[in-house]
Amino acid sequence: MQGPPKGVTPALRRTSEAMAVAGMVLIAAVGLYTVVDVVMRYVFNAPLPGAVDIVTYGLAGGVGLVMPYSIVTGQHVAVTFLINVAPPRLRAVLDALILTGNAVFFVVFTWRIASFALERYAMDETMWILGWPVWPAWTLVTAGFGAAMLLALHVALLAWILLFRPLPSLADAAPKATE
Amino acid sequence: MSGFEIGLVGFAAMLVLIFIGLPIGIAMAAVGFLGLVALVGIDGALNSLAIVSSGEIANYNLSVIPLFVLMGLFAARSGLSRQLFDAAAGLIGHLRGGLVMATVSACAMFGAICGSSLATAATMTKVAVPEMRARNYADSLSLGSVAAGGTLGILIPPSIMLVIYSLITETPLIDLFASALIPGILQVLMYMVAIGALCHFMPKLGPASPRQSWRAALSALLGATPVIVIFIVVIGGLYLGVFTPTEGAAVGAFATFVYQIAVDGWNSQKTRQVLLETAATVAMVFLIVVGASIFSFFMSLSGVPRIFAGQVQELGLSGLQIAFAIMVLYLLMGCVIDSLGMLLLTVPVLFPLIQGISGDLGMTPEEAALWFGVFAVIAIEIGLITPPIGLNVFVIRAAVKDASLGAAFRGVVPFLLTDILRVVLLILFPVIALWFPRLLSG
Repeated sequence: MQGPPKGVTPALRRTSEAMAVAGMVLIAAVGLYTVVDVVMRYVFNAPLPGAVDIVTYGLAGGVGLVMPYSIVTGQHVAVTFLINVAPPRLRAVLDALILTGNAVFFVVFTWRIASFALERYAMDETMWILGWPVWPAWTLVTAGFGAAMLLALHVALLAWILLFRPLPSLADAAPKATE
Repeated sequence: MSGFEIGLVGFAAMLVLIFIGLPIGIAMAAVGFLGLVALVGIDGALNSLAIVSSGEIANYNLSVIPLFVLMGLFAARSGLSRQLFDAAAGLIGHLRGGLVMATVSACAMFGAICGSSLATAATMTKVAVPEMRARNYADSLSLGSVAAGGTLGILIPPSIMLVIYSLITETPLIDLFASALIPGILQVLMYMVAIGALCHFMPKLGPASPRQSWRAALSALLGATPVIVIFIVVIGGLYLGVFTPTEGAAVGAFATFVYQIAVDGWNSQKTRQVLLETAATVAMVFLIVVGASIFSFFMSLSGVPRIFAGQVQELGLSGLQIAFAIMVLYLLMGCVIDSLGMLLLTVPVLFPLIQGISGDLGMTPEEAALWFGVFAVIAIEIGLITPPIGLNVFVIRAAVKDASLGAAFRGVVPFLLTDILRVVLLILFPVIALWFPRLLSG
């Protein structure tokens, strides 16, 4: 597991936490809909419409919204053996490279998901059972990944600034990818 | 370069990126994407990136992950672990090493409503270790038992690891859960025997305690009823076909949430904390799933798994030899790579090989898929307690500040040996994993 990067301001943290809670409330609501569907099916023989659609796209929206929180917590599965034994300077370079790798991933991924959402909108694609348009769900996913991208760029940029210009005023905010 | 060569270079590049510390999900996505660029060109790779990953983000079957994680965390916060431990301690705590046995039993029962090894270990540590210390149990055995018992969380259904295996290999999740049940029970029994033997020959490790009155034991047992009811409803409902996995997970999460409110009342801070912890896990798992799906697509397009399987089969090794070689590979990898990373790195490559040698192992390809899922999860879970990165041990160390890491790693040794023996048994007797799903399918 990696650790939280420094340099995330309280405001950014609060925003990402609010998005994460919103995402989880969405997923919990999807779970509740599923429970009600099960009860309605077995007790009243009247299942709710489109439970599969609700779960599928509710999950997608929820997953998108929790993404910025992954940048704030830095909770990724990673092998930190080399970083742990590296001398401080090399460690700082590796941290900056890793955070840049994260940022590049989120930039490319957000771009592709945004294109995907636009295509769904242009094609007027709908859910299988409910017939609702799918683009709002994909817009939510794009928004979540977009916010994660901005955060990832912020911490990566800060890592490089500190690597080449270790100003004392910024030293406390030095990003750190690993614990 | 041929597709196979591009695949091999990609695999090596991914190992390098992981070794320098890039998150595994992102390393897999990056190499998968660049590999696709090399194989099908930039336009094809960009299209694949969106199509493959969107299929994982909006995947009905993956909804079980956040819901099972929610279920486990609500259970952990509601004090169910304490009741499980008290119930087990009431029945067997008076025996020599009885509290350690009770710890393992409680871990197994907690694992039945929590699909995470780390959550099981962290939760049970706070409950069991102070009790064992108060009764003069050796720290090594106490800490080792919680670390090893925690591994039951990723084997006994519901298991997040089996959900991900199911996703990668397209193996039915309910059948996988059925396959894992007997090996999980076997693990508990083998741990009990190991603890009994240890405390018989070294009584100071786990001294006997006074027996509780039947009234007290019965009362403690009644306290564990909610867990038993939730497990029977969720997992029983899955096995009997009442629920889909998503429905079972939703019902389980809802039931533990209601139980937490019934016990503690509504606590918005506690609920918010559970939601945030789940959010962190969901983000982590989905990043890995997205990366793994892109990488798996690249791998299958390159032909590496198919050609690798063919070449290994041409070596003339028996199915058993290959299975034992895979076991050794997992044990070695477990020393340096996280369990989820191991699963994602190995299964896409090894699964076709296992399918290819299923006949040699005396199984149909469908049975081999179930057997390998359980085998891989058991072999991988061993990595959670092996030095230097045995995560369960570090989780316990974080919860018990004055615990010695050395004592904890010494304490897991008997359990580690038991685990290795169990993997060997599973290779020699696949029926351990296959009997129950065969029974269910008639």
